[in-house]
Amino acid sequence: MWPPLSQNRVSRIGWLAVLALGYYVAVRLGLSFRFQNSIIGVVWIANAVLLAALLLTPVARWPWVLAVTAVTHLAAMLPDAALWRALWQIGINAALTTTTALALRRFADLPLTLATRRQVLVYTVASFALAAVFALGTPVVVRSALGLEPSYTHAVAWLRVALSNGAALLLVTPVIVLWGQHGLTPLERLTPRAMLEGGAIVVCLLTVGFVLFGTGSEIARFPALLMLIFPPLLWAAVRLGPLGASTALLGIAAVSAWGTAGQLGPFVAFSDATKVLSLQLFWITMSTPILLMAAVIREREQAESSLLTLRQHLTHATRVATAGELSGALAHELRQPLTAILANAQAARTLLDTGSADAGELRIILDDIALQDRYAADVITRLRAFVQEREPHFEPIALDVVVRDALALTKVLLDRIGVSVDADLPPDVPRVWGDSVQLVQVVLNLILNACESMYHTPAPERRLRVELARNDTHFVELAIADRGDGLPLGAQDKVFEPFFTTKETGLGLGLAIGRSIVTAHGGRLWGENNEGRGATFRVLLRATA
Amino acid sequence: MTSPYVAIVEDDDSVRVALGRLCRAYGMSTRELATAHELVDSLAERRPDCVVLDLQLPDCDGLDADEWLRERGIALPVVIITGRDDTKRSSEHVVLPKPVDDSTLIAAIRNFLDRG
Repeated sequence: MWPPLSQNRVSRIGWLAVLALGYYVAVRLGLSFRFQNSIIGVVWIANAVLLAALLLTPVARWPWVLAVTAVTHLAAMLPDAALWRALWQIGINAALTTTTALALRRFADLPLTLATRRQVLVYTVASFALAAVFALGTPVVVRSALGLEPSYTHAVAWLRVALSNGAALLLVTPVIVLWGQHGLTPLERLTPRAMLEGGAIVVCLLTVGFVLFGTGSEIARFPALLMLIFPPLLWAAVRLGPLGASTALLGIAAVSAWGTAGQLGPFVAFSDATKVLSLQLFWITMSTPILLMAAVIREREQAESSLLTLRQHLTHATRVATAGELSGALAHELRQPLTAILANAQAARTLLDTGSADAGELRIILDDIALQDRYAADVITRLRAFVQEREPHFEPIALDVVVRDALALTKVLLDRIGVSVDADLPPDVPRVWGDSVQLVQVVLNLILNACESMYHTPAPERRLRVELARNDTHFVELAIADRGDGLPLGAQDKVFEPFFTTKETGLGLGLAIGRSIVTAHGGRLWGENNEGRGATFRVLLRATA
Repeated sequence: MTSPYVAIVEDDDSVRVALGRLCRAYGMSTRELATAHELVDSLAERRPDCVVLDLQLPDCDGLDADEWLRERGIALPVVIITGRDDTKRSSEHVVLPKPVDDSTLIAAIRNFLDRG
């Protein structure tokens, strides 16, 4: 984990030491990875490290970062290069990286996550365009323009420097920045399954990498084989996100560089200059689409997750609204035990006052008080469980308990309207996989709808039949049949549309939310008119066993 | 003087039993009934001095029961208790909201007894 520079002095010094070490290694790697006596590296990683450090620190700390890397640059270069050249490089590198970092701060909505298409495109364009522009000011390009650097023409030197920096910024910086932001938490959070998949992706990448770049020159006879690299990279992009995708890209780049330097792989037959250019073009052409793909997937995941959150809020809001509809009945349900408790307590008190109390009767009264108190507490607990907002919790659920809970919450209402309930809830029906609160919500809404549809039904005929049964080997079916007005003819599915309502009050969301809950449970909810009077709503849910 | 005889008509067992206890603690004798029909049936046996009637009974509304009795010339002093918030129909009755305090309930009953 990279500590933020503001944390404390010790960790700040430690951080700068890590930066110095990383930068030193990057310079030496860049210097060692050259072909023959070319003074331009294939990929100048040091700038990528510097840009990453700038992106990970607030602007106020940039002088520290630049100073540390400047000193390290001198220490790493001076054994081989002249002082003027090293200083020139320090200046132009600082200019390139700070300009890029500033451009990204301005246009890319930092922190850099590469989780949006916009950020990937801005990052790619900015790092390449600026690498190309600042390449014009590097010692080797300026000197070759002046004829002082005999080994290159001006244009070739510019192209090589630009691509060397551009490729480094594209491949290395994202990996450092993304890991720097997350630390090791993505690894710690991995489920065993994800770990297995991640491992499989790494094995595939390495296998393909070594087949392409670790075998002899014969691979060059089948250039189409280079395409083999895309399936594992796409796999990484789709499943592991920007962090996994950029790490996979860097891994493949490293394997290809190692192979090509060791005279293996498809670019081996080319001249050194062409080899370098081929490697760079290979890296660049594979990086952008893979990073874009990871961003597209991440964008979709985020859209889906925000939609899910929204649906959860809506589900909860309608639950609260339902509880509001029930509040009158629930107040009545609480008043009953409160009435009994008060009357019992005052009876006992009066018995004591008049001296006519006997211990046996007082004990019975106190037991009754305790019983009524628990009953009242149950009412509150049930209501509280129903209205609280919480993450859905899926577990094996006994539907008969769900139905009993919903009936308990609506008991007073059913009594008041005079609906007689005929419930057939065998306890041996298999459990279903679900969230108990959401399922209570579904059943409760169906009961309330049934009650409302029986408004015009003569009182003695107001009957509700609730039937729970195993549908076949895999499904459990809950049927709730009323003797009400029935569904609108020819539009029996319309009642499930949001805001469709035949009632004078109510939003018309109950059945829509009910269906969305059941669908999210992998089940079905539908309604049909009875042969006689009323309608039957059926919930079909998959059994756990 | 014999103790006043109060009929308690309430479908909720726990409330009915507790109200019965309360009235008895105040020296009344009670008859506990769960429905309006039971009340009507019990009248043949002994007519209560006062009826404590729950507004919401399974077989009918407490007020309807009272009306039914009046129409048949059976004028009984009725104290209505209710768990509901809406008591709009009952301006001519004594309507006590639940939970009801003993002083209120006993005073309402005694008020009728004194008049009777």
